[in-house]
Amino acid sequence: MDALCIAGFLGSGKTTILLEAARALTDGGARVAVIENEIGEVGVDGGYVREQGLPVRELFGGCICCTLQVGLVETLRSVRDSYGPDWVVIEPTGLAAPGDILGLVADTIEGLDLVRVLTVVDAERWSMLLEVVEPLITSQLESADVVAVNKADAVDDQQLAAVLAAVRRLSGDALVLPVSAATGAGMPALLRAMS
Amino acid sequence: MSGAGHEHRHGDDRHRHEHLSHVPDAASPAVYAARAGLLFDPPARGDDVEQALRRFLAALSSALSAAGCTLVGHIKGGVNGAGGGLAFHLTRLDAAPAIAGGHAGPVSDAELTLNVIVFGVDEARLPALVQHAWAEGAGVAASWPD
Repeated sequence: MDALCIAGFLGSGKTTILLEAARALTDGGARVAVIENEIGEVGVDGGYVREQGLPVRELFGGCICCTLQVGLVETLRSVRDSYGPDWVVIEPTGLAAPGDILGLVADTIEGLDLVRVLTVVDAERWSMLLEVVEPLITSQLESADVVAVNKADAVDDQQLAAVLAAVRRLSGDALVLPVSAATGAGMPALLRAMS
Repeated sequence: MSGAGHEHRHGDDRHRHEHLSHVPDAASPAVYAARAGLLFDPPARGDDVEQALRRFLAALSSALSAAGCTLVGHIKGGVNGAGGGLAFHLTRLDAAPAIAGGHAGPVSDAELTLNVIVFGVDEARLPALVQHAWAEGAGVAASWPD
């Protein structure tokens, strides 16, 4: 079983990209399960993902990178044993630090072959996010294998270039790609990079 | 695993977000999530349900702005009834919400699902801000959780 963690701040487009990634994996013949995490006590995205035909487990009321670590481990083991997916796609809350999730699942989940982190960045709100939650944004980029700079269609070329440059400075060796999940622009390249 | 959903909650492990050590104190998020029963009397057309939702989101945006909101994590949810559903999503107070879906036929009752995460607002004020915005904006009877 391989795991793909789709991280990124709230409202960056994680769920939309998750659905595209899951569709690409299932089209390739893989068996895919999804784990959705909401920090609030009421889930929203899990129902939407389920409507798209994907099996979903939901964890509410906390964050799987810290306060719901036990729940994540139990859920991953349950999914592995009961469903036997080739891929499990994890969408943590937008306040999660994916590096903590990586370490946790790598250390505790037997039979996990590969864990990849895709971090989604909101190009349109980049400056605003850095102003208020820079340490969180930085931590989400530091652990990424691939970074999708989403909503590229909502900013002009100069703004996009500035965001891409800043993201590349913060994300080490990660591959950084501009995309628009809304229009589909850049999505094929992103999905190829993740596969 | 079946396609049906599975909610996983923990007793001792169900913590509040105040304990998220990686989120800086200065940017502590305020969270409010709830389901509310909605009663449309007389039954509303699908378009009217959507307009009520838009008025609510506009009222909530104004209230959050006045309350000192510095950043919207997200305001998202749905209005679901027997004849369909609306999904909504908002990440900026100065922009129109994204709303998808619709209701076929008259709507007499529905459920509002709401998940709000914002910064710069006292969390203790959020339930009242949301519920007042619904009452003033949507003008539709709602039963909120205690």
